[in-house]
Amino acid sequence: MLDGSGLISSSFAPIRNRAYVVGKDGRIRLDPAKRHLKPYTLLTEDESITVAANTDMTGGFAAGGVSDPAIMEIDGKAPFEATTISFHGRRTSTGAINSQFTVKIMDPQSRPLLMNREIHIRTLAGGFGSSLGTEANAGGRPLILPETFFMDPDAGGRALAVEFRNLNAFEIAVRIAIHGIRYTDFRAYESALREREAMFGRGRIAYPFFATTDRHVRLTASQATTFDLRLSDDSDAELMKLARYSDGDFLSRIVEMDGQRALDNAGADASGGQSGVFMDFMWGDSEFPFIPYETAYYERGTKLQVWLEDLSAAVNNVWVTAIGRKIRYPEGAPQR
Amino acid sequence: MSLPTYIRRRRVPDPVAYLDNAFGRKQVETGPAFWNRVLQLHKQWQEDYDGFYINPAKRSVRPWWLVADRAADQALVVAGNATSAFIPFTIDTTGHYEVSYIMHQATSTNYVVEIFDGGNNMKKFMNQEIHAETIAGTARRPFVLPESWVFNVEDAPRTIFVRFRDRSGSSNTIRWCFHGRRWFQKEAIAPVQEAIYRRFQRRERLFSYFLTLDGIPTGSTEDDNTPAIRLTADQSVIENRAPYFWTTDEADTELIKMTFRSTGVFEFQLREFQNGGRILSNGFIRNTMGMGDGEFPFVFPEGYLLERNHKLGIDLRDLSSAQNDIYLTVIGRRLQYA
Repeated sequence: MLDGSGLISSSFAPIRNRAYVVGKDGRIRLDPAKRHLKPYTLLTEDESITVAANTDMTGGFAAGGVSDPAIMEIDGKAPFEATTISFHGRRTSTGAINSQFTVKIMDPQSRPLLMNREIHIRTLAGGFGSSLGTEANAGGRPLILPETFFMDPDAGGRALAVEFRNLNAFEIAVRIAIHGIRYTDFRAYESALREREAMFGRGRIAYPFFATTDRHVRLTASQATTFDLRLSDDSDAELMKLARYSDGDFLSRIVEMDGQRALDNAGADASGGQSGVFMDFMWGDSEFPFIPYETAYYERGTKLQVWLEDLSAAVNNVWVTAIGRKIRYPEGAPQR
Repeated sequence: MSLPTYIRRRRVPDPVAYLDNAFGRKQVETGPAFWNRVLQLHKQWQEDYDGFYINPAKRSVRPWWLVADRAADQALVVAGNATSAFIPFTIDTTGHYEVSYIMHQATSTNYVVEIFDGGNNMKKFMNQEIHAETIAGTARRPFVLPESWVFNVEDAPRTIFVRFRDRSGSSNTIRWCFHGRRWFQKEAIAPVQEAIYRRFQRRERLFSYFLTLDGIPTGSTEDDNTPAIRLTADQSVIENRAPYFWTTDEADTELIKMTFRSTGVFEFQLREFQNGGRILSNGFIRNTMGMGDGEFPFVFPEGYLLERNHKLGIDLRDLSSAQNDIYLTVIGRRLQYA
């Protein structure tokens, strides 16, 4: 470490849940806390949700085809810490695999909880079978949340609601699974919370967040235009992974509104040519997201602009998602 | 990898100054009441200030992509078997830059590249042309340099030059991109600015380096498609006839990853030229069991130190029963003694 300026390299989060510990006598023993930590998967109450065909597909992005909110509820026995997300989707009439739908995760009062608006499933969860793998082994590649989040049934955190939007003109059946850790012993849970509080400070909450453009991106052939991506005013945000799904190829740029700082050297060149970064250099997908060499930390109220240019010479629906964490702290809290 | 978002700061603000400030000039309590008050304030100080803070450097560091300067070069058309001009990738003076990932996309990924540091006496990052598939990936699996290339732009812009040579035989549209970390030191607070300045003073001595084969006999059949070695069906090149990786005498090289691109299967074994010809396996290894590609390189369980002016031979045997063009790359880091 260099004189407190933070120029050191290390991992994001503390190591947790080791099964074995070294006792004072140097012997390796089973960690007693391990008995109270169990892997756990949280599903919707009907495991498979049928989403009606979207009959309003003429605009490219459909306004209809939305499911009723499905509840994901844990019982009151123990808190839950979510770590990864996976999904499955299929066409009900043929059984063919399908991943053309969006999802919105909400609190039980239907307020978006982990995202600014609905997110394409291929940028939020694993399960579609990236071209680097196959659908059959996609379970091995869930989206790993860059920050975990806790659901404590004793503190009002008993349930989530999820809403799906079908992007097909036919009916589909979808499943979503949030995997994580169940704390069957309250002391182990408290210990995890203390670890979290030591990390973030008193009164601070950190949780995963999916940020997409403020409005849906539908580029006409060869169109180039800019879309706002506002990070909310209530918390700082750190962007850690980038994922996309699109109908065709595109170029993109990310520019910070404050100071117009761009995250690349593209843009107008000496000859006046406009350019951007090719999509496969900036965005991965939820199974293999692009992990920038350095995370981008933004203070509350930051607005980004995402410039996009179609390369497909056809209508191009583009979903881009920045995956990271939000760090919320009370107004007037000591500056850290 | 990424800088930590949180760092631990101790004794900030100074507890004594904090107490002085809390009590003010008027000290009314004495005895146990005084000490109770001190303990209360200490607890308050711990709750408010002790623990982790947002790393101040994070506000001045960003992920950053570097593409070709000219829009026309960002999707560069290279004629079949032709060589492009040197394409500039310029880093302006806004802030120091570290290159850590390499990515590419092309009509055909069968092409070779040369990469130079234009701001450092055209220092090459490789001994000769390297096959693109062995050192580049995409956003989902970028090729990760074992050691960043550091570009100090305190006084002037720096330019990386890249030259492409198509090996597919057809017109090839190539996109090439570097990714890494940009340090906006000029916009940072003073202590962060000073720390960045110190960090970048000498970091350029350490850099990633690509080595491909040397020692392919000139004028032989094996030389017909360099930098690949061309084996005829079932041909073996072993011992004295084997090609080698050769690190020249300006730096030691620690080899960390190994990749290949070939038109057929083959097997290999690594042989030291020094140390009595020690072989690094107990037999021949099939290519896919000891080499990867730019997206999934094979990573040595232990880095191999190839000292300056040493050679590491590689015995090769074709298993495809057909002509086999084999491009081999070992990727490591170099330390120049300045």
